[in-house]
Amino acid sequence: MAYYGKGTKEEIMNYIGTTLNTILVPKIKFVEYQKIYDSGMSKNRCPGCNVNDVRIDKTKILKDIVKNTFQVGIVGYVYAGSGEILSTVLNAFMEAVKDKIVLDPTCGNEAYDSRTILIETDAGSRHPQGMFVQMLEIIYFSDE
Amino acid sequence: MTENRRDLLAALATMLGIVSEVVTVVRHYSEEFDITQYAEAELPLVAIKEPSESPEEECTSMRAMMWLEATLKVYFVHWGISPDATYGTLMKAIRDKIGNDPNLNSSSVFTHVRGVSEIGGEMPLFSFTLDLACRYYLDQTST
Repeated sequence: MAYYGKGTKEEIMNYIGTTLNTILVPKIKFVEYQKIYDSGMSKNRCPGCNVNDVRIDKTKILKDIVKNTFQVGIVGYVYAGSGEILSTVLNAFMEAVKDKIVLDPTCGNEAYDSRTILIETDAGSRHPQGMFVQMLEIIYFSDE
Repeated sequence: MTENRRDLLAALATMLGIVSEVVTVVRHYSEEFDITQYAEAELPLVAIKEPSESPEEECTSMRAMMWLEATLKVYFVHWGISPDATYGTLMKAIRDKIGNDPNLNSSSVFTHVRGVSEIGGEMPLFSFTLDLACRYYLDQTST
């Protein structure tokens, strides 16, 4: 049964990072955890993303079952080379990230469900570099 | 024949306790029952809310026919996609137990299920209610 969703925060983060690392088109260059700044970012490293845990809201269901609403922020970086259109490059990578998450909302059976609740971009303000943030809301259960 | 609500409700709790699908039976007196005080292993759980009571008909010899309207709230855990099968099994087991012995082991004149709710709650904790109507003789000389 794939609907248990009794993984841990670390297992879910690891699943997201691992699955994003398999993006081939465009070929992803890096996935890192718990980083929100982009210093040191170069065009050779793009596209890539950081996977950050943002917050967990806990709701007690039973004495030994807690429902966790876990928000994860994926910060993506792209770079538009000469002859490329930034918005096209950005959209292609965003779609690739979204597709990977949608492919298995249970995060490898670690979560009960997950969905994308927000996507924002920098609207080309850093041209030729582009950034986006994709927020995920992931439901999983734990003992406490 | 039992002639007070205390023994009737005790008999109801005892009867529900021997339903094989039910693990825990509790009586509660407050408006809201706090299910978070119970662990998964203690479910399915039947919470019997303290019922309302009204006289139906006065009888001679200091006896009165009483109506007891009890609400059972049944909590269960279901990790799968749809809780329908578990809901059906539990509801049938409880209805069958009451239907097989509407006198509640000689503690009531008659007890029947007046209605069953739909499933409430959300994964993995679900619940439904059964409304019971119990009739019994109140012996006003002994209670």
